[in-house]
Amino acid sequence: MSDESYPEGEIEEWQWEAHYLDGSILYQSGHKFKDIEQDKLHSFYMVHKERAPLILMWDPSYKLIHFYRVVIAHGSGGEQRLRLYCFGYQTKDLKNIFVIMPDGGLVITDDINKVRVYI
Amino acid sequence: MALATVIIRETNTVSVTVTTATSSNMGILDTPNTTLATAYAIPADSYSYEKWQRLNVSANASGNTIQGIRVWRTGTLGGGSDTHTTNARTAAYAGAASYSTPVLTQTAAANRETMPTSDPGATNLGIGGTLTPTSDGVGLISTTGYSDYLVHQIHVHSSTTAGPAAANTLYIQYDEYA
Repeated sequence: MSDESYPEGEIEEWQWEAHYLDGSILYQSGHKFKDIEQDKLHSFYMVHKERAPLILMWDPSYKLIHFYRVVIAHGSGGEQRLRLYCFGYQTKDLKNIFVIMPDGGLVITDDINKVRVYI
Repeated sequence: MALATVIIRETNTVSVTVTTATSSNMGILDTPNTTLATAYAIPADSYSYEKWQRLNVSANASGNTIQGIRVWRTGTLGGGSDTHTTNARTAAYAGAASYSTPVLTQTAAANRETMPTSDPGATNLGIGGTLTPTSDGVGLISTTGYSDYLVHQIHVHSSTTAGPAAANTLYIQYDEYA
């Protein structure tokens, strides 16, 4: 993915890519999450300019999950913020959410509420 | 795709002045971003001014959805019997509080619940008066707008001795869906 895909001022540290069965790729830049055609997915990527991509191999039984959890902290040092990048899938019987932490670590959970963050 | 711009806005005084808040220091002063100073310290057996704060989605070009607001505080108050109370709660939510000029006496608006001292595990501050988003768009922000007011207040117990309290941190968390 070229740098041109990350317009200055709109950079998200991690961005998604939808890789389709026919080999084409839908990039987050310029598209909305709801634009992803899940019935044509081969894999779902979370990509970072300086890290290896995280790849979710797709299954037709999956329903894709993607959202951001944002924490704003007002402490003695003023305001601090952090963002968790959450993606994963849900089926009739199970849910798996992959949470990219601020340090790049990955937490895997069936319930995002189990992930507690403090600044 | 741009993420929404989300800021904390605080309302103060009878003039209903709205200011971006980057701190939530509390004392006997009805101003945003209060400087920590002895002159503003809360005396024993007294209340701080209420804080009236909201989450404000000020820009949202992509039409992302903001929901699931949680509020809590970490840290220890000045004395063992001091209290920090709020309208934020995960059950029996009283709906959106209507702004009333902040005061430094005990108020019903700010004294519905003890402020959680860890992530409450569920939404405890509403949008449009409800904690639970509905399919018709109530309970979430998908353009620009405000959450319900977070109203909170500290009471310093009569037994608390004068002096600086340990640092506390107020957390406001939300989820954003693209």
